[in-house]
Amino acid sequence: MGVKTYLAPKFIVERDQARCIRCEVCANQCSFESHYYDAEDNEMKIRPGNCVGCHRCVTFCPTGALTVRKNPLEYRDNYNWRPEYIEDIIKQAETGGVLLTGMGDDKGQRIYWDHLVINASQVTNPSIDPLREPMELTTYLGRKPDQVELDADGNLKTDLSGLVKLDTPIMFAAMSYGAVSLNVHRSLARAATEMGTLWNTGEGGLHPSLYQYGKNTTVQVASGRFGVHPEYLDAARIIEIKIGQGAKPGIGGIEATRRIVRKIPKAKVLILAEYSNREYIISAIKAGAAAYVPKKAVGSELISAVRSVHQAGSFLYPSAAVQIIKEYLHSAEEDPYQRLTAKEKDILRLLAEGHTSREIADLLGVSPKTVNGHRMEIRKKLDLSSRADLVKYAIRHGLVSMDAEPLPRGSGDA
Amino acid sequence: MRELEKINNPNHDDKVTDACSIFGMMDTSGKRFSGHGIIRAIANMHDRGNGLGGGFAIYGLYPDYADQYAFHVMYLSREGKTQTEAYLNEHFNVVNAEEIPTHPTPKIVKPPLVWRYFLEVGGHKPENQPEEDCIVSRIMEINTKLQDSFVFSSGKNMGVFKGVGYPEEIAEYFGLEQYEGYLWTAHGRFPTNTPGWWGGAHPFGLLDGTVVHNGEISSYGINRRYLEQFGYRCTMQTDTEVIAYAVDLLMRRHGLPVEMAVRVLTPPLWADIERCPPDEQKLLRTLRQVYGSLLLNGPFSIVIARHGEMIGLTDRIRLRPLVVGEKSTMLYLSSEESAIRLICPDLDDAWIPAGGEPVIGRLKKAQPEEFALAGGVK
Repeated sequence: MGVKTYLAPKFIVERDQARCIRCEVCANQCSFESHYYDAEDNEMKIRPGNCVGCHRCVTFCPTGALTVRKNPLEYRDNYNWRPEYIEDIIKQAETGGVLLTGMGDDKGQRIYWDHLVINASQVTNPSIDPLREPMELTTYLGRKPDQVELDADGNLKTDLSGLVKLDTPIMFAAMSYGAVSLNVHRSLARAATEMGTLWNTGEGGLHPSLYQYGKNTTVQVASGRFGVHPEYLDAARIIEIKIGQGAKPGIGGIEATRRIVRKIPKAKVLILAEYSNREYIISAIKAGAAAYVPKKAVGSELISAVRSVHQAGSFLYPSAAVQIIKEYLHSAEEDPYQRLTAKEKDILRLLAEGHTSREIADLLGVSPKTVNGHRMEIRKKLDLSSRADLVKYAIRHGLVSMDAEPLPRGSGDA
Repeated sequence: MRELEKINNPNHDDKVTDACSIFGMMDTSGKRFSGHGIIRAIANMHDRGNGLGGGFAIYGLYPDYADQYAFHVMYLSREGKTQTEAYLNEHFNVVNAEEIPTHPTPKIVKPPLVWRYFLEVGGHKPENQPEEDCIVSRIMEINTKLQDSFVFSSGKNMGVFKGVGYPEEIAEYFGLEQYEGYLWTAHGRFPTNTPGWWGGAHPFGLLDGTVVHNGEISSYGINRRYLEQFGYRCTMQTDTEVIAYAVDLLMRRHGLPVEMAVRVLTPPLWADIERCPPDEQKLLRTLRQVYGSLLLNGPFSIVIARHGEMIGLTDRIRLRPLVVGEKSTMLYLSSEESAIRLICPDLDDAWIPAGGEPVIGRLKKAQPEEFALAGGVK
């Protein structure tokens, strides 16, 4: 399955052949395809290197024939080149992906955030006196004049009521909707309101349900100008203009379209795609895309596409329109492909592109078991048995192109 | 002795941190008096210092040169003197120049050369700059760019005398008993963070504003960074310097009345501001918003002096002592009451002001009974 890896398997699955009754439960239950039935030898066998140590097969095996052990490889001792560093480097080199962990630092290192001491001494001496001085955290943001203006009677003229008051000199950094979920935005907005500080929407826009927290919100206007409109600007306390932006990893394409349109009905998604084939266009439209422009037509059509979407709500490049019409006319025809759900169609395409179940699970944000469940459905509906057959079917139906570039592979922490 | 430790030093601190002595006395009628009393008073608080700094500021001591700026300059080398005098001749009219008379005493070791110059700006003033701002720029230039020289007094008809030694020794060295002034301040130093050197003794001054200080300004870093924006350069390696420049900025350059300037240095807590009546709230809040970086953190008792005014002030939670005494037209400020009683046993009144509340002595105009004193809790 794919290019050879230079990482040794982490786990060894051991089967007591005397106990094994060849019921194939392990093969059915394993999401990682560690077990398979070899008909020629009439034996259940292991594919080394797939096991991730989840123990599902162990618990499901009716005769208790299985166990999972760590692979006890020895490395040469070196304080700097420790086994975990060596393995991380290999993983990253092989996949090109960024190794991530959920839930923070997995190395048991000191959480410095929990050990911060905020010192009132303003960067000179710590308070030397046993009677500690009062420390006030109230901070005002905004431009302040060099001096205070008084009128002829000595009364105050300067008016600084426009300054923004923070109860604590800590603000939340910008994390845009899309990089983080709506729930994260909601949490930040509520926390900022409760703590008397401000959170920052980032450049992905502000969901309408969060306008109520506007007094504690900073909205961003960045080069992409996602979601910038008058209500957006008026809803916030501070407008931050951001110049310069880097790219970020994440999902894209049709799945992103589906999610964005579901959460933000007003958002119009225009897809620029490599493929001009029918299945992809139809999937895109069904996912909620407002427009579809093949890359070859960007130079001539992009601006009219944007205008058309803005005025009329949609745009289809002429050849795409033809495909849609064909699709409509053919919808009565019995085509097994049409029996696939949207998700199954996506998974079929990703499988045909060469992704493993694990990778597909990462990309779609579901568990590998779900992916495998879908795979089985696909196989059943299309009556295909092997991966090679799936690929052939996909090519024949134009779901992938022979010339398409392999998509960049993300890598979770396997 | 262990029991005493428990009372005096409950945290078993290795170093004494709350020393330094300050004293100020002013005749609000404007009558000049000799330094005899204040020297006795500051000597009385001898044990609050450790001999690494002492100094006095005297107002009204050069009546013959009342219209000239009296620069007191200390030189750590001959080259410094040559360079500085060339500079002064270039940028000022030097009406008179002389070495400050001293009486050598074995207690003052390796003193620098200290000279005084009576200067006028005259035609040297640049077009768009007020005269006093121009002088401040010149002083900052001398202190930062010219080697080994420090201007430590620069007002008209007033002067600072200071150095390394107990205050009474400094007084003896400079022969201060012969001078007369209507307002005197004095200081005995106990340095806690920075070296004891001639420039580091108190009072610190700029033009006619001087400060003597007991305590530690822990906000020195941010105060200094804020003041740098306005052209002030801290060169004396002592935290007290920022108070002198803050006073110059707020009261002279920005023209804030004393009561408002004090509210910048020792503002009420935000929670207390919320409880004030609306107009006062707005004023206090705006002052904090604009001048927040001049808030003085850290324990302090200070006596600020300018022509016609003597101001006593402590930090908001009064971590250092200050006692006020009044007798007829005399106003006394001291770290300890005993020093006042020594030279004026029968005061009309003596009290301790509340933390953060200023005590202001002003020269009276006409009526003798009018005491222009503010603040204080009897």
